Amino acid sequence: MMPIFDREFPAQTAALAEVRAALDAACRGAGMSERATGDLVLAVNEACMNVIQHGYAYAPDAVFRLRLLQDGGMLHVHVLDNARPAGLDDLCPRALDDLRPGGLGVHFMRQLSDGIDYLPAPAGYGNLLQISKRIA
Amino acid sequence: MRDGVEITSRKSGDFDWLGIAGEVDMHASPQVRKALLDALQPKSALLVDLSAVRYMDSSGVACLVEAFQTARKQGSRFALVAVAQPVLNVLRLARLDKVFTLYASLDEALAGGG
Repeated sequence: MMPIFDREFPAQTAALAEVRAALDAACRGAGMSERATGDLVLAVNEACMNVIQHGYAYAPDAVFRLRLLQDGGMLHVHVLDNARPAGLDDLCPRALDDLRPGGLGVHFMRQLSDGIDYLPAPAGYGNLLQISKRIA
Repeated sequence: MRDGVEITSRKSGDFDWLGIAGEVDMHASPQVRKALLDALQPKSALLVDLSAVRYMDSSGVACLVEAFQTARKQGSRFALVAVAQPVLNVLRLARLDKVFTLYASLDEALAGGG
């Protein structure tokens, strides 16, 4: 499956607007609706935030890569990084009735997508998080 | 203003008004957090106009939760006004739309006890 979008970004909060704009254009180009695109872009934005904050701890020279793949009626976004190894425990959302700032990112990712999972990372990367969403 | 946020504030009678415009993401949220916490005074009322927010992620939601909790500790009133759809979407996602006080307009907020 060849990526229809493949781009590296600095792991900096200042890059997030460009991440969203680029992914929005790629998803729309693949035929995804405005609403589904908005959901997927927000979910991926949350994943990138986790990489920047928890994975790289704001390391200044760190980067991550986004790939968008189409598999029939499904779009898969791959978030690739070389941060500390992450696992399924990192994808457990917290209880929403625990009213406190923060900790909502995984809940957003799960609610806004049709599936998130860590896959074996390809050579040269430490983590591969896949976020999937149906096109229609 | 393609990226980032613009924050304006004013004091009017018994309440403080804070207007936030633009994209409240992880890059902008420290600025938003500071503006919210700076605007909160004990036993005061803060109305936050979110009508011009085009995007908000979980870091923006965290700012609103912290401000809400600070206001509650201070005995202050804290309400969101004219909440734009992208914000409403994430508040619903976090099930916070029933926790925060939301008003459709400034007039409605003032009628609610400004």
